Amino acid sequence: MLLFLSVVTATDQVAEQCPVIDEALFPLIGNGDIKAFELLYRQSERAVYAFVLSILRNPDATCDIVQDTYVRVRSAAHLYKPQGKPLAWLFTIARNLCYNSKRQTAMISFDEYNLENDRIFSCVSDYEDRIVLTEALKILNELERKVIFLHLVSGLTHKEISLSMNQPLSTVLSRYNRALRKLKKHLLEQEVFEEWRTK
Amino acid sequence: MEDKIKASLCRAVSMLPQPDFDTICAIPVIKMTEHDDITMQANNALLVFRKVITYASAVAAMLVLCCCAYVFQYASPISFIEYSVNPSFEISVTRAQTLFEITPKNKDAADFLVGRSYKGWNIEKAVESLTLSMIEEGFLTAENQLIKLRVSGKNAQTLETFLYADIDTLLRERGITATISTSFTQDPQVNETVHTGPPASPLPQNEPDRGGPPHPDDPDDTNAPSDTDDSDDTDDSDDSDDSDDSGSSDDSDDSDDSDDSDDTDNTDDSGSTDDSDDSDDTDNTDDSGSADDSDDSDDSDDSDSPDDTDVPDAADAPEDTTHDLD
Repeated sequence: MLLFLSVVTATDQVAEQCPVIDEALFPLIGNGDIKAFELLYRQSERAVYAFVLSILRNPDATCDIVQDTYVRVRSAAHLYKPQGKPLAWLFTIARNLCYNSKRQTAMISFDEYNLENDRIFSCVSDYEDRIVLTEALKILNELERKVIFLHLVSGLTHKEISLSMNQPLSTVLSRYNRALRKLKKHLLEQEVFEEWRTK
Repeated sequence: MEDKIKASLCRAVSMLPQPDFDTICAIPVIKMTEHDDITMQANNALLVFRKVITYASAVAAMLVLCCCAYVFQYASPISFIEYSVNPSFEISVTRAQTLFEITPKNKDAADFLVGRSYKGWNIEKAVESLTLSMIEEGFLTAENQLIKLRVSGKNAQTLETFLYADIDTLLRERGITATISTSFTQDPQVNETVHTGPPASPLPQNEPDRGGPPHPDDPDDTNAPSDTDDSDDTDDSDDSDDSDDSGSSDDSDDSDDSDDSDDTDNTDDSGSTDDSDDSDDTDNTDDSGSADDSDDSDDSDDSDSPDDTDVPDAADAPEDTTHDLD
């Protein structure tokens, strides 16, 4: 019961809107302020994790890249120039690290994984949740995954997503609706989600 | 269902392995001296440049639209005027009522236009200036007092009215005697309409008998042309008016003609055959009846009603309006 409640509250926290990051934290981090760095980490980690997961589609690799991202932030925070979009800089670092990682390692195609024998997402205990996650990572393209995960998982608004990814708001909105429609249709075709249709 | 998907994804992601803050803090870092290709910030100048390009494209599109509107308004003619004094000119007029181009139609006109340019002038001012120049250059003389205006295209009727009024006023102010003949064609698909007006001059009183019933407006003058019937001239095919116009030509047959309110009924009009006195009927060179049939499309019985051929000129109205400014 307690475990269930903690999971529920955790998801509620995750779904909350991502707090606004103060650019004034970066000079402090550059000076070695751990508290400032922790504040930045707590405010942005969920968004950076969702962003990297949408690119790599591998939770273990995502974890490593997110760690590398924040290490880079610590080493280059004193060089940061305020441009009004601090999350965009974090996404830039994360994206560059992802692409470097893809180039350096031979990433096995996600499609080759057998869903039933998938050990990567075996940590997700709920079958429906695992199906939703794997299907979202499988059927959506990279741009659609980014918008879906940043909005639904990390709680960023569409406007924040458009600012952070340097894309027009209308593009983000249309991409989100298209991805959601695609995901809904695919999930309803799965027999396990027939009950969702009636609810 | 969006909420279900959102909740499922959040639960699933929260169960995935997460990075540890303490582990990140424990990793030693070396302060960078400058950004590398990983940490390089997005080029703000490039983003600004893209925005500038976007706005510049929008402005350029607006400029192109304005240019097209300008060309449509000022650089494409919609009306054409044939201005003929001898010399003769063809003038094209834009939608904004400005002179687009003036083309000489004969050598005199070409010589006249040397060193002159009316392009862009208001059309009324241009025609006035042209008329003044015709007077000053001596093209409008006592022997040559005719100005012909043929207007075609859009707004032809309005343009013709304005031009006639302008030229008329100009000539009157200078006490110049001239005849202005105008006509207009409103639309290529529409039959040419004629701007009607009073005849150039009344017929003399000693006109030979033309036959036909007396004119209702002038019952005592059986020979007088029915000037008041000119309003009917616009419809040459309205032969029912011919019966009124035929009154002057044949007194002896008036009693017969009065019974014929319609040309088709004028089978008993065996009156005067002296049709050659229709001097005002400029189109009826042969007033012997049969030649007029071409002008009176409904005069199917003209051959049977020679008196009808004696109708005055008003029945066969001219195509042009001739205004004498004596």
